[in-house]
Amino acid sequence: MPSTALRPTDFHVLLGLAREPLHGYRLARRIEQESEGRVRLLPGNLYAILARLEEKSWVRQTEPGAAPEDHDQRRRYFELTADGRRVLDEETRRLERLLRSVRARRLLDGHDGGATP
Amino acid sequence: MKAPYHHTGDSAGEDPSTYLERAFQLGLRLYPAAHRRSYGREMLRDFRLFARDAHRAGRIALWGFAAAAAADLLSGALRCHLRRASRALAPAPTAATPAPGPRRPFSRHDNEASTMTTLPHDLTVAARRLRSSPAFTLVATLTLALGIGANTAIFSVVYGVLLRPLGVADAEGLAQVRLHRVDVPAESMGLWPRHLDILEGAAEGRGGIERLTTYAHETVTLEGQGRAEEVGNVVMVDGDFFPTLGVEPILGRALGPADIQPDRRGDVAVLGEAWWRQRFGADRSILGRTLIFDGQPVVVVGVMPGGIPMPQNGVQLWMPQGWDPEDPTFYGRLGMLARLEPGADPGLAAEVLAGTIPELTEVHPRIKGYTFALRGFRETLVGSSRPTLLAVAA
Repeated sequence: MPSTALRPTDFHVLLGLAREPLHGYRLARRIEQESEGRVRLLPGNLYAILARLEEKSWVRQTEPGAAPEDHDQRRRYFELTADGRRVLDEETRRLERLLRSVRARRLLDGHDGGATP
Repeated sequence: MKAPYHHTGDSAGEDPSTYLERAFQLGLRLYPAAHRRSYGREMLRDFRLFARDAHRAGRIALWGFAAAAAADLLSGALRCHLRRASRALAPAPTAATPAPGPRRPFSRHDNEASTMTTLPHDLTVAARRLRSSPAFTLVATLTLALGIGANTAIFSVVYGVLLRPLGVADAEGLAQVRLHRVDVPAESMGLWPRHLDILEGAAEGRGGIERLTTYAHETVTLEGQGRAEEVGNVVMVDGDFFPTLGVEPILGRALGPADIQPDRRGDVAVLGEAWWRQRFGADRSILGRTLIFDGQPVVVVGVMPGGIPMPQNGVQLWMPQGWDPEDPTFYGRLGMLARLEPGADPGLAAEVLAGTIPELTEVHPRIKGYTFALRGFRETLVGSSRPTLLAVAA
């Protein structure tokens, strides 16, 4: 379990794998889409992060996901472990709390929660 | 063309950038062997997919990707080595650390997890070896210094000529329309005002041509400012010129369709930045001032930035011009630029324009034996030196 906040890229990688197992390229593209283009991981850093997360047992290699059109037997797929999912949940809750606190204290102009439906 | 993100095959048969792939494979050697064994193949497959996407997005995107991938490889390798180093320096909780014993030569079969292969240790060993052979160290250092210096110099030139943003929007989609002799391609000719309607009619919705714009070089005389002064680098443009280039003024506004007077020169003008600075001392109150060019009062409405390389560098003055089909002033003197749709084939666009040659020949028989070619904007600037520059940079 992380004792401090997750690194943003770790969070994005875990989040990218939350829905289904993916191979590296699809994971990178998923992260790029989910972050609206702000986080772009190329193979060098992507696999350095994946190796670290595998070492922490938050991510493991697995079989292709459920969608048959995605299958590529030659590729290695990555999925979240139970620990990884727990870390992701905790970090998401931590960010939620932080955001609530910022909004409650009206620390940011225009980000006081009024825009949230 | 947008890359299909869902594609998972790793074949990149259409990708001509095999040299990039070779460079990537070399770069993989920077990684710890264990990392390469675990992920090297996957990294290469992903790299091919990213390179394919970048290649589809155009040449500039491919170069941008190559630079980003090089930085990514280096920083990823550094990340892996630092992680291994920090792991090796951490207190060992088990008896897995080998007992100290007599030093033995390096072997590729050495245990990857041992401290022998960690970065700090490697650096110490390297420093010792370099200290023990000063001559070799000197030669190696000089070689590196020269290599890095030469590379930097070459990259600066290549960047300046091939990669630098060109001061126009989406330079990849801009092309110079050239009317040249079929048998002597180096011999080109300008267009006639009466050709324009024919070409625009032919291009409408065909060959991926989004828009055509016409210009002509001119010389005018500035009067009423003391001595009459010849302004040699003037470009007369139609109303679509600046919208097609996608250039914003640094002061005032650009010229547009509303400035065009039928069959004559318009009564407004925009200045080129360099001339504005040099001749008018960068005076911002130049906007709205009336200058007399060739005896005609003209109001200055804007200043365009320097660095617009089309149709040539250092234009002093831009003026709107309605091309008069009956006025011989511009016969055979009009230049043309095309804005192509994203991913359009310039060859196809040229074919569409070439289909009008018989009609253009009726306007003026000199066109006989000529045809059209489209040259990419950057190619127009770099010309035949491009392959040489790329080879030097590779």
